Formats: sequence, structure tokens, C-alpha cells
Amino acid sequence: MSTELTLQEFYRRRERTVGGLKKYGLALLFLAPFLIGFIVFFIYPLFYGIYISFTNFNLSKPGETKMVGFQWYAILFNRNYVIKGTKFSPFFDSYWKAFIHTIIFVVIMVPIAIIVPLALAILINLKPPGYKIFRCLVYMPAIVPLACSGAIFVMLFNPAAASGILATLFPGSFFDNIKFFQDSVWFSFKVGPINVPIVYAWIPIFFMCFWGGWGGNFIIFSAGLENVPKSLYEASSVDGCNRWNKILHVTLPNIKGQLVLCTFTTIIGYMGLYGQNYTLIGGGPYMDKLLISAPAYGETSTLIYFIQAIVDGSNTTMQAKFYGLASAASIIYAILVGILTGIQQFLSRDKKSGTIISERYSKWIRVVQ
Amino acid sequence: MDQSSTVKLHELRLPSRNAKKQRTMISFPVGKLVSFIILTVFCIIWISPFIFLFTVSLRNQTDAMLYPKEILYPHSGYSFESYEIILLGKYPETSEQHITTGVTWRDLVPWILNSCGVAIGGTIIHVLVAAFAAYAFTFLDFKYRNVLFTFLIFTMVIPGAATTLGNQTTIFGLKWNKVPLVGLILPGIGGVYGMYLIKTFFSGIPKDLIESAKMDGYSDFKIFFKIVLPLGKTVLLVQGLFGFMGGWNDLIWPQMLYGADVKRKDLWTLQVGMAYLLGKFRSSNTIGVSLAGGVICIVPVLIVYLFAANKIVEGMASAGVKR
Repeated sequence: MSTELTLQEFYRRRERTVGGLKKYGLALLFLAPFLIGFIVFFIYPLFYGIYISFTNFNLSKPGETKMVGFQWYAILFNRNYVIKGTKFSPFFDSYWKAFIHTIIFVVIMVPIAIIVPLALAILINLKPPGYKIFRCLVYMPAIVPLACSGAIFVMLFNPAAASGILATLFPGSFFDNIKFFQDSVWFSFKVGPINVPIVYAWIPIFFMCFWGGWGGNFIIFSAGLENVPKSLYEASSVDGCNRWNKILHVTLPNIKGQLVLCTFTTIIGYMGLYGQNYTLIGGGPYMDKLLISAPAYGETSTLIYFIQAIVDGSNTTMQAKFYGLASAASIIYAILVGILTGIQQFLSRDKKSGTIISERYSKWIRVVQ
Repeated sequence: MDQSSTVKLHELRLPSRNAKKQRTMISFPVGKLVSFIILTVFCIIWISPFIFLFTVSLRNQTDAMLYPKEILYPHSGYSFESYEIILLGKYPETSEQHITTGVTWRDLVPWILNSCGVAIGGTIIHVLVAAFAAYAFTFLDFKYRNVLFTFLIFTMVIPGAATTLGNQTTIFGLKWNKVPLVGLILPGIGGVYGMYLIKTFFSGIPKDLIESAKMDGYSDFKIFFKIVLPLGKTVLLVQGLFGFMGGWNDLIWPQMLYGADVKRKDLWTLQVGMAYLLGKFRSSNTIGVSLAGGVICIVPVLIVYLFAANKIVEGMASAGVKR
């Protein structure tokens, strides 16, 4: 009798474990590659990056890491903080100049990268003959690799002596008179203690972004416009709306979700501006000789450029000495961008696109309760 | 727009239908015509850099120096001089400056292969891994499934910049910066965005279909490969196209891994190599060489785009994502 009971019990337990193993084992098998990748290449580097920002980590000698506390953050936020043994710290100026460049560029570029594709999408939505071809052509620059569009814009903006296209096509004009890729300052201003010269090199960068930078927005807007119910337009024209009022009161409210999504993704995109100024002028022109020992002290540096100038290994001493600094800068950058993404997810919580986090959040609340 | 007001507007519309019809018949072609003209002008301007890219890359150095104004059709006809310089290292005798880049087709072929490896191989691996995970999250039932998925979704707020440095230390620690491709492909494997998109699509596949397949004795692997993957091929294709474009165009990450090591050019991708070439052939009459490199760089992407333009455009639209 007792053995029988035990056997039954054993069988039940075995059933449970085997069944569980079968069930979870299978799920685990399907998930394993993804989860391993996620943990090894996302979770681990995230925390390791934070750890590095508190150390004097050296990429070629990872064994000799020492904690340095908040040194790198102090360097980035306190102009008078100097590393022991040095007299002057150029990093503060270099970093904040990059920061100001980035913010100014975002402020100028983002409205353009929203309004122009929106206008074009509205035109396309009128369905002129061949609108599909137009749509493909308008989007085409967005697929061009950076190195290639860099070559194109160097060719366009080169001085006439180097057979730049714009300079030779419009002799005597603005494009001919200005040396875009040399030490030519357009105007300069001061933010606190930092002198910020704006160089003419920003113009080719601007046009390169203008050419290839908003194709995605354009496509998203066109899709949004197609989904605006036709009856609304008809109804509004009965109500006596003219074209402009229709755009203002029918079109825009109906693509609010796409507008929010595109605004934020564009802001985030240009916060990460790097490739354009790298391929066009290598972050230069490098004019401020005081900052020569800092990374990315050129006049077209950006936040990502500051990080990349340290870690890409083009300057090995920089990479060896200041890896922690780059890490601190990247953490600050990640927090900034993270906040922006969070706001975007929050704003677009009840729209079709970009609901992800809030939708998940409400479900999660239900699971937890 | 709330329901009541819509209804009212509709009621208003009914009596004046005829009047409205006439008005639209007159006004519609005007709008179309205006938009057609504006778009034509815009597209000509928009496409002109592409045309300059091709024609100037086909101009020889003498023409570039003496007749810079002849852009669309070079003075002495099209020539493959720039391509010869970049592919064969063969400089023309008239060339004023012999810039030794040390780049020939022997370097270009590994670059192209590496770029193809990342763009094609990497994308296939990523999409497959993401599809497996998406299948588990959609059709398999396990404890903490929703909690885990929610956690993954929350991590999407964190931008890639936060993890690149950590990843670089991992790759350098494993000495993968001396090995081609591995360091370029593997870090993308845990990408949540692609997995999320695929999962959203899989959620639309009726559960009954999977259940009945299970009744018929299909294993989960068989269901995955025979039913779910064929049904989800639209989203997989879209995701694959994004992956191809992203992998082919990526500059920052390959540069972080291999860019500094000029002695190991064979590890570079095409983008890194082209950026390097552009640095050499920048402000001189040899810009044609950079452009020839640019043409080599753009042609595969352009081919993919021209064949799949509508798919890409629709995919972008449905996913609501950006490159």
C-alpha cells in the first residue's frame, strides 16, 4: 500500500518536472539565442559602460583598472576641475562646444525635417500622375551610404580651384566666394565662458542632412495622410473650408500621432549627428589651438563626435587615457536621449504608432495586480 | 473627431451633393497639376546629385582640371580613369599628384565581401533569431512571459550609445577586432526593435491555426518553419531590407572596431574604406576617385532599392520606423 502511494507520488512529480521541462525547455530553446545576445550585448555592456565611467579603464590594458570616482563627470561639468599633474583641462570647453553645436543643429534642422516632408507628402497625397515614382525618388537620397553622400557634397561644395560643382556653375556667387572646408568663420558668439565660432563648414553639413535626412519622415507622413478618412475632407469642404483650413483643421489633427513620432525620432536622430561631419570635414576645421589636447575640439564637433574621437582609436593615447571620459559622456548622452524617447512614448501612448511602452505598461500593471 | 459631429456633417452634405460634385470636378485637376509641377521640379533637383555622382566619376583628371564646367558630358567623353585608379592603382601619366593610397581591387574585394557579410549574413541571422524569440513570445506559454516581454520593451528607451562602449571592450577583450565580421554581426543579435516588430505581426496570425497544427502532431519547430515563417514573410522581408540597408550603411560601429588599424585593411567594410579614401582624395581634382568609390558603394543599395522600392516604402509606412 505504501509503495503504491509512493509510486503514484513519484509518477506525479516526474510528470510535473518532465512536463515543465518540456514546456519551459522548448520556450527556452526558442528564446535562448535572442536572450543570450540581449544579455551579453545589451545588459552587460550597459552596466559595464557605467562602471567604466567611474574608472581609468584602458582598452589595451584592461587588467590595470582603478576606480577614480566621479572624476570624469567632474571634468565634464566643472570647468575648473583639472586632473592631477596637469594645469589646464581643455575637456570642458571641447565637450560643451560639441553640446552647443548639437543643440543648435537640432533646433534648426528638426523643424525643416518635419515641414518639408510634410509639405511634400501633402502634395503626393493629391495623387498627381506618377505619384508612386515621385514617392520613390523623394525617398531615394535616404538610402545613400554616408561615405557616398559625403563624396557627393565634397564635390558640390569644393572651391572652384578644385572643380567644385556649385562654385563652377555659379561663379562669383556665395558658393564661389566662400571656402567651405577651410578655416572660415561665419560668425561667432559666446555662451558663458565658451567661445563658439560658427564656421561655413556647417552649410554643406546642413545641405547633406537636408538632402538625405528626412526620407523616413516623408514616408510615414504619406502613409498617415492616406489613412485620413476621405469623408472628413468632403464634410469640411461642405462646411466651407478652403485648402489651407483643410490642412490645418483636418489633416494635421489626424496625423498627430505621426507628427509626434517623427518629431522625436528626428530630434534623437540629429542628437546623434556624426557621419555627416566626419565624412565631409573630419570634424574640422580645427582652429582653437588651446584645446589641442582635447578630443573633437574642431568647429563642427558634436556629442557623438566627442565620444567617437576618443574611442575609435585614431588617436591611441587619447583612447588609452580617456576611455572613462568617453564612457561618462556616452552615459550622459544616453540619459538625454532616453528622456526624449520616454517623452515620445508617453505622448503617443494612445496612438497607433509608438504605443509600445505605455501599452505594455498598462498590461504589466494588470499582470502585477 | 467625435461621432455626433461627424454625423451632423454628413447630414449637411447630403442636400448639396450635386453642387459639391461640380466644384470638385473643376478644382481637382488644378491641385493635381500644381503638385505635379512642383514635384517634378523638386525631384529634378533632388536627383541631380546622383547624376553628378555618376557623370563626374566618369570624367578624367585632365577634363576635371581644364573643363570643370562640363559636368554632364565631359570634354573628352566618358572615361573609366577614376575607376582604374581606385580598382587597379593605375595612375594616368598626366596626373599631377600621385597620391599613394595603397588601395586597389585587392583591398576593395575584402571590403565588399565584409559589407556583404554584414548586410546579408548578419541580417539573416538577426531576423531568424528575432523570429524565434517572437514565436516564443507569441505562441508558447511560459511563466513570466509577459513580465519578460515588458521588460524587453522598456529597455527600448535606452539608446545604443549607452552600450557601444561596453560592447567595444567585450569585442576587444575577446580579440574579435582581429577577426572579420564576428564583431560586426553578433552585437546586433539581441536587438529588441526587430523582435518587437516581428512579434506584432505574428500576433495577427490566428491562434486556431497553430492549435490545429498541434492537434495534427506538428512539433513547434515544424510549425515555426512550415506555417509561421511563410505567413510572416512580409514582415521578415521588411525587417530584412532594413537590416540590409542598415548593415551596408553602418559607419560608426565598424570604425570603432577596425577603423584605426590601417595595417589590417582587409577587415574593413566598404563604408570605412570609402571614408578613408574620401579623406585622401578630398580637396583636389581627384575627387572623381572618391566618387568612383561612392558609385561602387551605392550600386548594390540602389539595385536593392529599385527592385524593392515599393516594398521598402510600404514597410517603412507600416512599421512606422526610421532607418
